[in-house]
Amino acid sequence: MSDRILEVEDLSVTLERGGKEITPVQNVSVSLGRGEALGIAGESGCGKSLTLKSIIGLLPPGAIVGGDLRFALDREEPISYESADVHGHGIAIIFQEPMTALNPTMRVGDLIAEGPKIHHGLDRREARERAIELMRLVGIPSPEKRARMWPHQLSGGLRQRVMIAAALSTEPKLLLCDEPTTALDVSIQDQILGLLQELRTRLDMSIIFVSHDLAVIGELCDRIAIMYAGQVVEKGPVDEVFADPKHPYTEALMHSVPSFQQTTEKLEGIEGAPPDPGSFPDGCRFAPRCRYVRDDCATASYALVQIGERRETGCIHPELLEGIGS
Amino acid sequence: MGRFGFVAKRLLQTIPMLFGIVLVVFMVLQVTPGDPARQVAGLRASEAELEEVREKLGLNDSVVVQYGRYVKNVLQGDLGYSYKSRKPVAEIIAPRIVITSWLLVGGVLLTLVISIPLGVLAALRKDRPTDHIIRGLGLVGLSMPSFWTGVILLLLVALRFDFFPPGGFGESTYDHFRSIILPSLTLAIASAPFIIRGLRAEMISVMESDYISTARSLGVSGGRLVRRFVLRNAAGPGITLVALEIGYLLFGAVVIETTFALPGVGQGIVLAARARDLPTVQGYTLLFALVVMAVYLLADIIMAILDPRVEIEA
Repeated sequence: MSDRILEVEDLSVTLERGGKEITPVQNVSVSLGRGEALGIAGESGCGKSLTLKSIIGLLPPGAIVGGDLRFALDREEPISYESADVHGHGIAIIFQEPMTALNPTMRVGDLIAEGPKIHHGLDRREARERAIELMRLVGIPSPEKRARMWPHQLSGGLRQRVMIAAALSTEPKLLLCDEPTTALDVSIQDQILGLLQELRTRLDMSIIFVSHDLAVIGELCDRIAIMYAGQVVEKGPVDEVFADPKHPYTEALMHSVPSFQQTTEKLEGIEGAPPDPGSFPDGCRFAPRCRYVRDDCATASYALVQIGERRETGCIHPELLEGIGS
Repeated sequence: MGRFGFVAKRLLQTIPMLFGIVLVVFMVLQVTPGDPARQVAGLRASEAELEEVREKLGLNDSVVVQYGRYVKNVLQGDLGYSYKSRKPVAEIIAPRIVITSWLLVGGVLLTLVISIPLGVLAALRKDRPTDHIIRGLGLVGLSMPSFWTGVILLLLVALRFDFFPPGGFGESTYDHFRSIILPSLTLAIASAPFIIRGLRAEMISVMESDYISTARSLGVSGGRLVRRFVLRNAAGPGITLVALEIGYLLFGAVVIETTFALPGVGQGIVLAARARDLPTVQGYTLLFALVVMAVYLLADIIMAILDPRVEIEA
């Protein structure tokens, strides 16, 4: 796996909820090359955030992770998730809500200095300088002054930049982004996306970007994985998937995104609501909401099928799709 | 500036509160049935004698004038005269304050020494045997009334080890120290379960917050995580809890001082109440109210120091 930095094979996450075991993530397989950016899209509750959290070992206590996670660093042996080896070693994460993700009682400079202190053995003063350096790298103006501020004294965009600086402090090879732009104003969103894009090339970092916003993923990512009800239903290069979806759910998602070009087009939502992890339907999980549904969908077992050179779909009747032009 | 502004504002707020407290304490004497003049002059006093006493005590003045005089006197440290001993109330209370301060400081320190490690441990070992044991012990502590715990400690500890005197406060500082340990422990046993429970809940909610995930993802773990990310965030509500607890401790002191024959304010208010010595009871009531107010003020100031967001909420 020399060109692969991450391979996730058949990942499942089992949690206990109200005395019952539920499996909100199942059969998820994704892989990521060095320097590549992968988007994971889907409605809220589809398991995309849990997938990210299992990659970095931040699941709530009691969660059971199944399947294989292989993360290639300079070493060959797979890392152990039991000992939380990945924390501060190669994988970092940024969250949706930068206000709650930052310790409210710690000056932001001190937070960014934590990583360098722990992992690079820098003393107080060196770590401070490193923090200011990182703040400058992520485009925070007058970092010397801002390093002494508390999180609540910063704007949302600056907070997210602080979060990114803290993540970068551990010199990650893979940056996980859990809807990092959702809570921000549109203009700030663009700035943060631009920053991530720039850091990715400059630091040769791979990115997994989770979002429900297809446009954002289209801007930043090379490949996309669409998740529905805990499973990946379609995978492929972003432009190909957007131009010609091979799964009815992807197609429906595309229809529900407003576009500037076609102002007359009526937006179509998706009928019904996503199923609860406690009661996923048998067969194809999207079948109850699918406009192309056939009899055999209810009994189809989950499998991703290669379709074309670089694409995979979980739909057993991709030939029925009419395309997004219709 | 913000946080110091908050503290200044909080200090200013206490001034009207002070007047309110004095008013309530003053009213207690006004609404209590019975004739104060009769209390002073005795049962056999004639109507003329009573009238003389009323005139002397200013009881014939309007309530407003009496209140004004009371406030003026209180501000000068004059709490009136005891009906029984005829001594100034302030002189009766003052020496007792020292003893109760020892008890309260000892009780609070022991409470913290017991509850901080146990609360933290219970939270870190949530739903595991250690947690269950700590919570079980807490229930036992809660269900033992202070007078009973006190008596048990006297029987099991004080009677066996000469180091702990079975009662009284002694003469030297060393004696004071020895005689305050068991009463403080009694106080701590009653109050630690509250603090343990509160701290545990607070820590658990902090541990589930996003910024703990952030810290973990950066590789912060173990003691460093607890010290730098959990404790300071859990401490704020914890301090409020301790402040509330001190209010209860003050009343716990009433029972404990009686059990251990400590001549503190708790014992003093019982004696004064039994003797229907209203000015003295009034003095104690005022003291209790002031202490509780001061403790809450102190808690707010500590909160402001610990939590940089206080200026927003103020």
